[in-house]
Amino acid sequence: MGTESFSRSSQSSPRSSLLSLLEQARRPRQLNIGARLTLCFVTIVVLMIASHAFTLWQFDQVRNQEERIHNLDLESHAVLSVHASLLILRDKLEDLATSGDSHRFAEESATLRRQFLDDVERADRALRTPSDLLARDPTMLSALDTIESALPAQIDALSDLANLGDWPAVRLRLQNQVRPLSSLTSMLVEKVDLEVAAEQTRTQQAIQRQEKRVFLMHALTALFTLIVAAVLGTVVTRSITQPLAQLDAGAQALALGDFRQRVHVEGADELATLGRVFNDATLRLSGLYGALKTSEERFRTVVAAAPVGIAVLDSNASIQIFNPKFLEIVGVTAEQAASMSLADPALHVLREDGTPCPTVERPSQRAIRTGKPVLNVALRNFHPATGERRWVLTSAWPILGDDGKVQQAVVTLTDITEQKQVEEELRAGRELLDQAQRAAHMGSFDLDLQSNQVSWSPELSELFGFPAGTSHGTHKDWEDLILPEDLAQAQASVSETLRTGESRAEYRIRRKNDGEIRWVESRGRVFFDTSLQPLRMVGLTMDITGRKQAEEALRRSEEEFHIIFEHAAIGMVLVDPDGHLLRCNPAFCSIVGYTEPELPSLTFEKISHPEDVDLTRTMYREVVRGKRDRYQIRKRYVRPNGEVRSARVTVSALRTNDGKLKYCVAMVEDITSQELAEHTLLQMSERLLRIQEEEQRRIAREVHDSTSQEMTALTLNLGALMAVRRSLPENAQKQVAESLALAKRVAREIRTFSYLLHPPMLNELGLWSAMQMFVEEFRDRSGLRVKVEISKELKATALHPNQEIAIYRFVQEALANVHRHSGSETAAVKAHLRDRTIEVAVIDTGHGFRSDLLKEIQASSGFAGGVGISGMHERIGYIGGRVEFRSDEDETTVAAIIPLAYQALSYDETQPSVALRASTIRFPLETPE
Amino acid sequence: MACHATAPAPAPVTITLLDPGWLDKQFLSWRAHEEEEFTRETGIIVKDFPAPETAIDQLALLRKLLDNPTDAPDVFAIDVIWPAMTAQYSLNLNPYLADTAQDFPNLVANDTIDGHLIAMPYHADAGLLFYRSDLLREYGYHLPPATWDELEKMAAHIQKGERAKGNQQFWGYVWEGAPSEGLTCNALEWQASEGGGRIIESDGKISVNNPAAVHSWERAARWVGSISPPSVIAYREWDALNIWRAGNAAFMRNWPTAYSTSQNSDSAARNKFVATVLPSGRSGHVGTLGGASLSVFRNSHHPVEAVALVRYLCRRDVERGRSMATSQPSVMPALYDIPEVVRTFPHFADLIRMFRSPLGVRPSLVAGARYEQVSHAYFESVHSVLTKQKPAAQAAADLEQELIRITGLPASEQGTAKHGN
Repeated sequence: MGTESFSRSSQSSPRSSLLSLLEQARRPRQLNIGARLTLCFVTIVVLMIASHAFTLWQFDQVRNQEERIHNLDLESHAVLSVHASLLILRDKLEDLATSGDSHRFAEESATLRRQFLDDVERADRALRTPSDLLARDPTMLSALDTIESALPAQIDALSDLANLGDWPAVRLRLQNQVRPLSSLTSMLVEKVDLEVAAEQTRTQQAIQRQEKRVFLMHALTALFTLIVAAVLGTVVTRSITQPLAQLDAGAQALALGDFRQRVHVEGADELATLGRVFNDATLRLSGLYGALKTSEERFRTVVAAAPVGIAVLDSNASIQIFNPKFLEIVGVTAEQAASMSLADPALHVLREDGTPCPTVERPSQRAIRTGKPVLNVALRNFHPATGERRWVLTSAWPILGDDGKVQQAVVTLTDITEQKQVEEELRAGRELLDQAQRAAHMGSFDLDLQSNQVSWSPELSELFGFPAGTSHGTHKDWEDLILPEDLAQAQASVSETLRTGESRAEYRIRRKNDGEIRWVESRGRVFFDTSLQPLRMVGLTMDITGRKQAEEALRRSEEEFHIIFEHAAIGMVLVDPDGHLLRCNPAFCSIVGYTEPELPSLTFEKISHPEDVDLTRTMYREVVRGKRDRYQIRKRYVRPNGEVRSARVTVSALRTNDGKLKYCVAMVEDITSQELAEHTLLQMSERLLRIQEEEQRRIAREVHDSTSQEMTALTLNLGALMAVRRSLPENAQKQVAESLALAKRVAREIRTFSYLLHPPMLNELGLWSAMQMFVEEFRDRSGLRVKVEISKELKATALHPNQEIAIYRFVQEALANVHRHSGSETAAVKAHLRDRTIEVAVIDTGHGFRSDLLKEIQASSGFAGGVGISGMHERIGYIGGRVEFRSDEDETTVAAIIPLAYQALSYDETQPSVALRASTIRFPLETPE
Repeated sequence: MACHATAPAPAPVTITLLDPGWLDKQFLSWRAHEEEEFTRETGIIVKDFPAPETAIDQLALLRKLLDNPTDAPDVFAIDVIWPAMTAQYSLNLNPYLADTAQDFPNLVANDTIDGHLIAMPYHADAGLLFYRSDLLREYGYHLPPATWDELEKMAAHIQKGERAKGNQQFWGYVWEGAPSEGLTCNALEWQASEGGGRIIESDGKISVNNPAAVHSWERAARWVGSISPPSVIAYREWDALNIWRAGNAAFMRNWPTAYSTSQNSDSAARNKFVATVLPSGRSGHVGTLGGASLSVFRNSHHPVEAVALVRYLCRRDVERGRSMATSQPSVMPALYDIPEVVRTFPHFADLIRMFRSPLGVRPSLVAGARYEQVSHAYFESVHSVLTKQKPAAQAAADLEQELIRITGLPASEQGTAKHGN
């Protein structure tokens, strides 16, 4: 697939440039076969042309060389003719000189000179023309030039001498000066000859080389062309034959039925297209084959699993195909069935009425004979295995060939024996139903809509109060029974029934015989004929008077409830097990600040104060789980405007009979103002306590600083008097002594009182040292042995002064109680920090609380325990803690449980709601049952 | 197609040389020897250009070659009268060849144009009188002719005697009478030796129209057909030499190289002649100064090698060898003191005097590029006198006018002719 998509993408950007063609040619399968073959042939032809062009070029080179040789020949010839011409000229001049005829000499020398100069000119041209071909000796041309200029000069000189008749001088000049000229020309000839020979040799060699090269190149290019052609041919052929072979193999495999066969598709040529088509076709064939197989298998499965016996017969009614059910119904084995014909008269077949069914009447025979299907003929056959008679519903379908003749038939057999039995049972059941109807004051009617005649069942007749035995009447009879106010509704119901085919109606009748008014309910059904015209209306009518009365009672009760619900001062809300608010009353709405329409979108979590959500959820979950049916808590709601309302909520569960929670009813009592009052009270009390504390401290100081000092002064004075008592009268002595003792006692009392009023060292020493001092002082005073245990963590923890004073007072009060009430001789003060909670316990081993008293104390949050206990409760309450009382046989414990985090109560009287919203009022949210 | 492997050593440089001395066989063989030596020394190959006979033809050829740089020779010899005409083609040799002190100063000066040494003096020439010592002795003369008149008498006498012996082709005196540069040289010797000046003097005055010159021309005209063949008016250098070498002349005017040619085995004059200074007139012996210098072509592809060749050919030992082999006089005065040389060529003692004399110097320097025209006008004038077409006086007067026209130089006053010098 990868190569396929790749080839597609490269095809989708057709480029016509040669480059891209070559690029594609590197992957031959990217090119169409035609293009591939064309490219192949073009390559070969180009190679052949190139090799021929090269050969031609070489021939051209050889021709150039030959031309060169020719030129050299011309040159050589020209120079030779100059030389010859010079020799001739010299000889002639010498002859003329011998003749001594100056006139002839002048004439002929002029002619000779012209001829000679012509020759020189020719030679000059010949030497100059091919000068581009060889590096010519520059002296050669100048030699010609020299001859050209020298000879005429010589001829001039000779002519001059001849004119003057000095023939000896002429001859001498010819001998000495002209002859050397011929040596010059012969030198020239020699040079040219040498040059030409060398050049000819070179040229010949070049030609030979070129011939060799031509031969070699010809062979090489032919070989190269052959190789390229062979390679290209092989590649191209392979690129065609390989996929072809694959296609062939694929086709053969396909012919053998292997639909999984796939051809490897590569490239973009026709074969690739063919391959893809082949793959597509096989894929589709494979799919079709698979579908066919599946369908066939499904068919087989259906046939095999069909609860209907199925058999395919040939035109002689011989069984060709059958399914297990067929064997079961006919009661034969597979072997028997394979050789069986349904036209066999030996088969024992009865008609529905029990008479034997002739062969020709059998559905299969009829279908084969008539070519038409025969459907649902109930027959009875004899089951050879069990020997029982079975009801068989038989159908037969002919299968027509192309010629319209029956070729096969399909027979289906349905065992309806059980169905027949059920019909029997049904009939029996109907009897029972009738009886039941009677018992249920239920009767049936059957209205013939054509005749308006209606028949009633005896039960109905009785219900309507007709005389016994009345079973027929008219529709009007029924209408007359109905109370006038309900008649329209009843009639409408009839119309409705006729229109929709089915309906029900409730209405009241006045019974015919006793005039009693009864509620009845009628349900009717209309039967239509084939043209959809209503024929009959059949139905039931039953007495529902009892139910109607109950409903009425209920309705009334609900109405009352509704009034209460709507007008109650307490908020009420129904909550489903998931916590959704189902219904609420106005009072609830006004507490939470939402309107009733907003309810469905609300849950308790959403409207509850975030800090109370956990508690609410935990409690509610317990209700849902069935752990409890009812609870009461104090919680806060947050209104949409952010205002916080406090409420006491009582939740009761309503359960189904099996104990599952249907919903809960929550009674919500707005206690915001009550709490506000409580809170204010709390704060007032705290302030009072603080003032009291201050006052006590002031008094203590006052007592200590003035009264105590003055008492000391008095004691000293009395002591002084005692020192001089001898001088006093005896009576006075005794009085002084008593006064001194009295003064001392008063001074101690005052000090004690002052200590009790305010622990003097609390501010200076800290709580625990001050407490230690107090305990020691208390031990001295009371004689009670007090053990103090304070954990290190607690000692290391800084506490708020209010916490310190509260704890100090608690211990003071508790020890005072132990001393006053318990009769114990020992006591222990234990204080430690656990989970950010301070627990200060005062334990004694006295006779403890009376159990009734303890219960009372516990139930009343300490208010019933006398002033001291309530003081402890108050003090500890102010710092957010609580006081616990525990008592058993051995010891009694009074413990203060105080959260470490102290939050001062701050109550701004001008803005109560704001203060409330921001505050965290702590109170027991749960009231245990 | 195939690449030839490049030779490990660079191909030897070939340079070309044009030296008009080529027609002399002796000279050519010596030249071949010199070039072999040069190649052996430097690895540079030298090829020779052939050259025509006469100076005019040589100049024409040289110009033709030099105007076409591809055909031009790298080194070319120029006649002593050409420096002004070929200066434009020549490389300034001053930076390369500063050691010219050994040479005759007037030769070096002759090759210096605008301060550039356009050629290196290479060999010197001066007109010489060749005489048949055997015949002089035979006819009772123990000394060569001291004056032109003596020459005339001795020539006539010997000619008469030889002809009487049966040699009708024998002539007393042969020289170059054809209208060419050769005639200019001869005529200059005639007139200068008589105090007739140098045609145009070095002070830029045209002096040719003077009685001494006219007289000398008239005398020469008298020789034609008497002691010299009538055809002498058509004789170029080689014609005179041909007659001389055939043994048909008693006296010959020629250049020093004719000495060795006359000593060739095919020469009838071999070992029967002496070379000496030309006869004197009222002003003494005059031999026209000739010679050649070597120039390097300005656009040569191998200037370094060309200069090397020039340096080689002008080297003292090479000069000496050449003098000994070809009787060509060297440009180096020092060579004339070598006993071997003086012994072989006794006339070299005369030559050195003439090389130092200003009388035989053609007015090539003063005429500059117009020398060719000046010379042409001169030899045509003299030739017209020799052929009796014009009286000498008229020819001189006409020539004066023509030279004024050609050169634009003034004529000197009649009286200034250096009769007394």
